[in-house]
Amino acid sequence: MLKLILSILLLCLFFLPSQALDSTSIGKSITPFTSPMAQGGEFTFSKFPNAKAFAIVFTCNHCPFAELYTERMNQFHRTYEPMGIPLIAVNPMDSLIYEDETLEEMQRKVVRDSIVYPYVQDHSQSIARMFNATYTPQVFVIQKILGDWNIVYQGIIDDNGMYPELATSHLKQTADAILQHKPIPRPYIASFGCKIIFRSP
Amino acid sequence: MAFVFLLLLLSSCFISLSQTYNPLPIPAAMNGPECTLRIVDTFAQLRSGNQTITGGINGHKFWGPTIFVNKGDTIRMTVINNLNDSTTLHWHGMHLPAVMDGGPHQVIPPGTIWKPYWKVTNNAATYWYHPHLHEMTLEHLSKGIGGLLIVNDEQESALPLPRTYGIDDIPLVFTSRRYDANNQFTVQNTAYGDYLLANGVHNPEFTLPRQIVRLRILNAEVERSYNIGFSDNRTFYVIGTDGGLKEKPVPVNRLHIAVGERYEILVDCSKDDIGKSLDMMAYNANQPFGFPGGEPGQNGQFGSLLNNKNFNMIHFTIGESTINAIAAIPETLIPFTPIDPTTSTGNQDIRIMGGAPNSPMPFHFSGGIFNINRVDKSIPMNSAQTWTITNSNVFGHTFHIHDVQFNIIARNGNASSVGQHEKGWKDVLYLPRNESATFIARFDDYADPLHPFMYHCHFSNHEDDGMMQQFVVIPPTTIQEETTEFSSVSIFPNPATDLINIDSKDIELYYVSIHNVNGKTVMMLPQPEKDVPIQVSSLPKGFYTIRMTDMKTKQVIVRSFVK
Repeated sequence: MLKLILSILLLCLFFLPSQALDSTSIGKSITPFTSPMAQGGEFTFSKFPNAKAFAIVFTCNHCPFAELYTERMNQFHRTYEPMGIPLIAVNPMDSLIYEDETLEEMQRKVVRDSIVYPYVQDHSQSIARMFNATYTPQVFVIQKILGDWNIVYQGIIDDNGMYPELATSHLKQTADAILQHKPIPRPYIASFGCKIIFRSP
Repeated sequence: MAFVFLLLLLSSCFISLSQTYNPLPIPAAMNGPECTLRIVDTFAQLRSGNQTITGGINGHKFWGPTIFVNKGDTIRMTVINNLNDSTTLHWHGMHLPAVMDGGPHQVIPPGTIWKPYWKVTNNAATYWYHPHLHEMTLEHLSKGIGGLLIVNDEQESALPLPRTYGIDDIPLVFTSRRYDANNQFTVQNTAYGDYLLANGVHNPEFTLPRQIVRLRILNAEVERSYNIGFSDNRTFYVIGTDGGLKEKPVPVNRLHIAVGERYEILVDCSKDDIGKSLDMMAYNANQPFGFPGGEPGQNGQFGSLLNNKNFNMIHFTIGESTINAIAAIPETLIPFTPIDPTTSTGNQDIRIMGGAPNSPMPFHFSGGIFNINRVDKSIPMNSAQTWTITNSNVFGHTFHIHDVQFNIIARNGNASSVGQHEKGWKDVLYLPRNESATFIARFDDYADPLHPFMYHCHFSNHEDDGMMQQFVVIPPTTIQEETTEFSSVSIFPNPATDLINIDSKDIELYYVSIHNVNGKTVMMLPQPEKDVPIQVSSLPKGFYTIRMTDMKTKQVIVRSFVK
């Protein structure tokens, strides 16, 4: 009886979202990953041999709130990469659902926005799954502790999307704490933005 | 001493800030019958601090344009879903084919265009459109995705009523939200917001002209009812219910508006001094147990800063009257011919179940929690049906049925218990706890044994939890399985540039969908009009398939084209 509707629905359900529920991954160990970069070639951790920590920002092209942070991410990378905390942007969005999220569109964004940090495509979404990333934008700071990369901060970049001059940067506070060998002020702050929709395994 | 002075100064600043009003935005008017609605993720500065993620339509940050259409026109919608998520858009209150209705079966994936159309047969009244994706309705509605749909007709146009949109004919869409520490809307385990929004702003104010004004009020809350009145306790006049104008204005000084309901009221401001302040209030304090929003707590799933209290909904100031002002409340409006209860040929009885504290089941209707694969009722076309909803349960609910407008004919079995204000055409009714409501509706057309309509509690959290069921309207005679010579259907030109034509011979198409090379649905065309080309200019170059479904046999044929 409902076979036709179901067939129509099934085509649509293929693209239905799974509910994103933010929960803390603080302390989780991260395996170094490699993945294609919009700038060309493969990103590997070894590109930054002197890194003490990485700011891994899950972001994308089509999310308007993530879009607000491009220049702030550039500034962070310019400032903190020389001090050993590079910023890596990871795009976990499914390019079958979103035509804006192909590697070609990422390349256009790199040129258009003069992006200086590596912009990495997570085509299989395995990086996002490893971090339990839920939204774009969402930042995870990982620090090398006793030979392992561990998540020491998870959350928002700062607390004002439109007005960076009014914002408190939780990412910078975390980076400064790492550089000064101090405890991370607030290791976890719930994230929000565009849900990362994971393709069924 | 200086410290105390500073504290006092800061306190006075805070009090002053807390009394600051924001101008009421009037949603942009969009004149039908051709309408394009592009739904996007966006954000809005709703309070100090960080911006709040919202859903916008056509550049609006929260709540979309008001669509105006005339009865008798064929409205053609182009809905473009540029959200991060799949969604649907339901035309609440409209009488239309189920396949155009925008319920949970008409899922629009991200990046997809949906093109429903229908002839407007509804009476002049205030309808609305909103997302209806099962288990996601609360979240998408909370983002502010929705808008009003105002139908005009000749009868309404002939009456001496205010109808200058945004001047003396004011749309008022009320809801409320709770914010988390990041200034984002809280939707999980949140039945009530803490801060009221009118047309998408907190602490709204508006200048009403010194004359008769018309307010079109929609309760777009999750659960909360409003017991509306004015700060000077003045009488106002109910002139319209969900689906039409009344026979004559009904004077009241309180009006209960439950979730999903619309009421049109007239307010006589002609005798007010210019500059006078007038507040529209929700007199929600000390309501009977079960009143949505009457719970005493301020926190948690059922608490709210607005619960069980009287609060200001909008601050009005009286301004200069306009040219051609309406100066009097009309004595009569339009004739109302109710459905004759003796014509009813079927009874549909529904009991509200579950939901009690410690109950393993959420609120649902007798017959089971919503199952998208189960049709709960088959309604014969050309019939009047009597529906009785019984709420022997712990809380009040609102009941909404798609496809039709109904007449409430009894409450608790008594015709005399139906409120004067709610007599007329309705598509939502409020059902207090320990009460029943009976309505009659006619199902005269749009038979479709395949595609169902919904009926559900309009509390979006209850609906998402499964307090929803579905019915089909079946034709008077059973259609025999037939075969159709479907293989002769062709499409042209191929390759295509802007338009694709379907040569379906004499075959009527039930559904057409276009898919890109990855299998993604890029366009959904329910029952496309015969010999009207499909606009494909917005599609990127590539290889596409068209799936076409025969109306009679539901056989599917696939063709492909290159653009």
